[in-house]
Amino acid sequence: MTPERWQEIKEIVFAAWDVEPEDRNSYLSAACADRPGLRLQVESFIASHQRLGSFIESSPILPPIHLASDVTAVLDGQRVGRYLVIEELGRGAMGIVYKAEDTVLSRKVALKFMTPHGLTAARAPERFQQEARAAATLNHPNICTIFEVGEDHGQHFIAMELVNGKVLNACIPEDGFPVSTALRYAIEISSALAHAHGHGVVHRDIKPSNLMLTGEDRVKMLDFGLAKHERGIGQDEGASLTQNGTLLGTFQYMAPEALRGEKIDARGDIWSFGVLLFELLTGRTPWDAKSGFALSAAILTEPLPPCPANVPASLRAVIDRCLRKDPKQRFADGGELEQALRAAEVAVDRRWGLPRVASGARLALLLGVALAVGIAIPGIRTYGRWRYGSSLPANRTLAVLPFENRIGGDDGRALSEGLQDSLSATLSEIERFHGSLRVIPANEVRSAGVSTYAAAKQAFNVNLVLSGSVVREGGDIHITTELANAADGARLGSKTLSISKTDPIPLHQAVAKQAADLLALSLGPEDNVVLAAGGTRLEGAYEKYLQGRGYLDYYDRGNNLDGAIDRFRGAISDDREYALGYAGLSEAYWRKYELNRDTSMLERAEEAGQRAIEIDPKIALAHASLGQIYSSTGQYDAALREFRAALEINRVCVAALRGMADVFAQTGKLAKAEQTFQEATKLRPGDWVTLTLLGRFYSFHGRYKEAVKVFAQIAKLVPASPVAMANLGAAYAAVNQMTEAEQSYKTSIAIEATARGYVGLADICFAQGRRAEAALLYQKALDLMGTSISYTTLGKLAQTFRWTPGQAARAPDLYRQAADVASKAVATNPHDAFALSWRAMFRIQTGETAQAFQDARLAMRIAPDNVRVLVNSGIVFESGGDHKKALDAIRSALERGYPTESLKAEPDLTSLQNNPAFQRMIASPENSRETP
Amino acid sequence: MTVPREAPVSELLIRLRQGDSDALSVLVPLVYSELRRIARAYLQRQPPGHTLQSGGLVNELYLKLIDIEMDWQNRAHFFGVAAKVMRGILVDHARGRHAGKRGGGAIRVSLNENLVKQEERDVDLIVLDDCLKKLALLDPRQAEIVELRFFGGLSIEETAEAIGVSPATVKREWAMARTWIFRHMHEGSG
Repeated sequence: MTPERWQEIKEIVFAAWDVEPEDRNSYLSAACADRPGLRLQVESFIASHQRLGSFIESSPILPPIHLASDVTAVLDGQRVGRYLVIEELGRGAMGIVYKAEDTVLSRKVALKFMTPHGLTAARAPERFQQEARAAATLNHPNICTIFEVGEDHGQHFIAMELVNGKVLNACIPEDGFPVSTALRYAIEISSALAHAHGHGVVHRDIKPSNLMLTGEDRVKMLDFGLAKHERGIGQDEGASLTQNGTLLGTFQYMAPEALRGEKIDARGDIWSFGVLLFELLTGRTPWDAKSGFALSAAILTEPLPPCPANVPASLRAVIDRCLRKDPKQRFADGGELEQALRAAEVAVDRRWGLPRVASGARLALLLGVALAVGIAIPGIRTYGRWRYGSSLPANRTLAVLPFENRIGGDDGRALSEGLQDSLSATLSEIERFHGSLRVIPANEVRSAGVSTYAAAKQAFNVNLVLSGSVVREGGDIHITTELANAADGARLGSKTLSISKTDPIPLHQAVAKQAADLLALSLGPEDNVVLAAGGTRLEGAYEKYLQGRGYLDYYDRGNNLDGAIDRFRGAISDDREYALGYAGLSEAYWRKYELNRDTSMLERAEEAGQRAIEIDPKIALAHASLGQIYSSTGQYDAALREFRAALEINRVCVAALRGMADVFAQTGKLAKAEQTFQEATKLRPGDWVTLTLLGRFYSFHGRYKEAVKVFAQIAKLVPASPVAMANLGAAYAAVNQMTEAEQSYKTSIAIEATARGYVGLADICFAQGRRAEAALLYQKALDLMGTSISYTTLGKLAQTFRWTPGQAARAPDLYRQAADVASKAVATNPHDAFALSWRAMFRIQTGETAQAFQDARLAMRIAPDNVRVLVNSGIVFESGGDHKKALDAIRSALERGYPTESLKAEPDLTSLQNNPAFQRMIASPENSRETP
Repeated sequence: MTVPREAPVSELLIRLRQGDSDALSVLVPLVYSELRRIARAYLQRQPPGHTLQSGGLVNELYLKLIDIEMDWQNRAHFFGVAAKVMRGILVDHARGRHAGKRGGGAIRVSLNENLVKQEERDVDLIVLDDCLKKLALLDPRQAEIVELRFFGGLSIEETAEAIGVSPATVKREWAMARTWIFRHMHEGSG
């Protein structure tokens, strides 16, 4: 064929492709008139093209993923770590974002990769990691959550929450949003900033393209891509990474000091926010110019142009304060900004006549309602609004949604969460007096991520939702409660309770009654006993109590537990007779003990719990808390007594149910234990604390597959919990899925570096013979534990040294330390089989054979079905020369589902490997049976 | 215009795009030696199986050679140059293995493993290279498009930028070229 003929064929083929298939024949007849040979060649080509399939369609070269055009076709379906890439979502200067599926947790995530610009701009991997580490410390509803910082084949990526919605800059109307909408977005953004600044994280690149509006019409801040960690390690390095002489960010939103290349702190964010707020309200940015040079000159020198008249004065003042050229004159950080905006909101509400309420529903009944509700107590100002002609369904199923935090800051958020928690707890306690009422617990609502009526309807099929807001104005707090129809969001009524410092009232009761009244529950004397139980009349104490509850709800994150303890202590120091405050404090101390095994916490927990019951014996939570404490100290009968007392007051008290189940498990009543756990999870399907106990129950008793299932479910419920991810890792390790185990531990550490995560990673290294690495990781874990050292970790470190050439001499001393720490645990709870079996392991290594055997025997007697105890005891007997006892214990463990793989990998059992009985045992299939 | 040898790659690329053909004569040997070195090391790490995934090679090179922010058009030109080099490396590699096997089966390259069905994903590189040489005599632009798309991993848009035509043109020329090669390799006709 000649090139000329080829050109001819090509042109006809191209044209033929462009016409509709049914017209193709007539086209070809015309194009190839009198040239049957040409026509044959053309038709043959078209036919071949249809047979082509994907022949050489994709290249053997990995797509240069950072190129700026369509690369998705090739990346789609690619696996990155545990994620399967689905499609590209977008790209920015620093990275490309893909939608992907997390194959472990089967959920959709967003995966962010670096562009070469991102990679080459200033030592990128460090920068990338730094970005992610900073952002991963944040946990806020208006900030996109980071799940994992990972690397696969040299590609660094961040897995984060997939936000469904639109980028804000595509949503801003030409003339800006209505004032109330702009204000709502602004408050959400300021709340996110308050949180970030509170954690020492500065965003540095606030602009509409870094903000998204979700389907629920909430703002999510994305991409702390240029964020710089102000505090903590590596501060100097951090500065050089982002400074670097480059002007980052976008001119229009850049503060004057940023344009001058100076150091930027939280006040730089405040400036950018000011520009953004101006734009939200007016649809344009305050300064504009044709070139970057002219624009930066304008920002540096020209005064702020006046806002249009439709912008309320209170907001104009906020903008003005944000956009001062001198950073010192601006709000100091997000916290101050948020407060100012919330104050502005109150002013705007006044001016616009409470725009948050559907019109036509404004009927202020003022004090009359308060009397009708039956709260005839001086000092309450309460007024309500009712929708005409609305009636409540006969069977009321209710979800309490998060209260809107209009106070701001972490404390404001804790207050709102505490209110949601305490209100739904109280309402669920009076459920039993009202057959027609069912309340979804707050923790379930939270773990399902439900914050709107539509989501509540979908997740729980409720017909009513209760929500509201908390506002502070001067010394007063206004708590508004709103009841709405879950089907269409229509407001059925709302009530506002104004609490002032000077007029003491029973607050807990008043708030609950307000809700009960909206629900048209007629309260009897028994209700009032519950509602009145343990409350306070002091506004300050009540506020701190609610905050404490809010922090306690997320006790496993950051310093929340210390925050909870601090607030509860504050509450009881305000009101010495505040029983609920003591109950909360007791629970918080107990959590603290659980976390770091500091026994002095147990004493404090018990003391606080006793005090709560002394003041008011009708507090279910106080009994449950005491039960847990007794359970921790091995006083199982006393524990069961307290749990029963709690259940008597509130038969759906989940804390008591799961505590009881745990006691049954500890005392070898396995069937009862499982039954009670099931009951508790049935009552509260989303309660991950209960699920964690159930998962631990399964893994202690060799039912590893069930354990994996439970822990995977938990990780789905609380993806940002380092504890949940570490537990999932342990579960995977037990079924020998080491890759998944390692991944989960790494995720846990990425969320927050905890000792648990490092111990898990170290266990994997040890099992795989990477002793040096294991030793380092155990030491890292011990460092993180501070003064509350774990004996198992000490013992594992000792064991690692013992099996590392040249390090064995370091082992004995560590074993002795481990035995000492374990002895403290045994002193706290003499029936702690786990601690006993570990102490036996340590003692056998320091030559105390008789004591070791005694510990092992006792441990096996207390917990004959606990596989860890059995294996530990087996090792002790084997090391002490009693091969028969060792084989018996190991056999028991195998029969209960302990994996043979783990036994084979156990270096302390190598002497058994040549024992024919052991070999038979391991080879015998019924011993490696899988649990149902 | 003469180009100093030590001119940074990014500058060379800009000149190349502005039509300075001298830039290419400096760029190609530079890219070639680097890419070849990286590729050798990479290919040596591959398991001795008969498939090859050469992912990441060009990216690695790019990151090594280009140190400033650059617009994607210039990057496309860079990848265009790299595609020529990659073709040589991959085909040489295939020939080497072929010789090593002494008459054994043809060497095949694994395409994107996740996407393509098994029977479609192995292509005999040596035959493909021969086909491409023939296609270049008939239609040089199509041959270049295949080189960029297949051996360079470039997208339609990047290919368009690299050779200075519209994406629509690249799309249909690419389809046509694939058909031609397909017929040549599998249907024994031209």
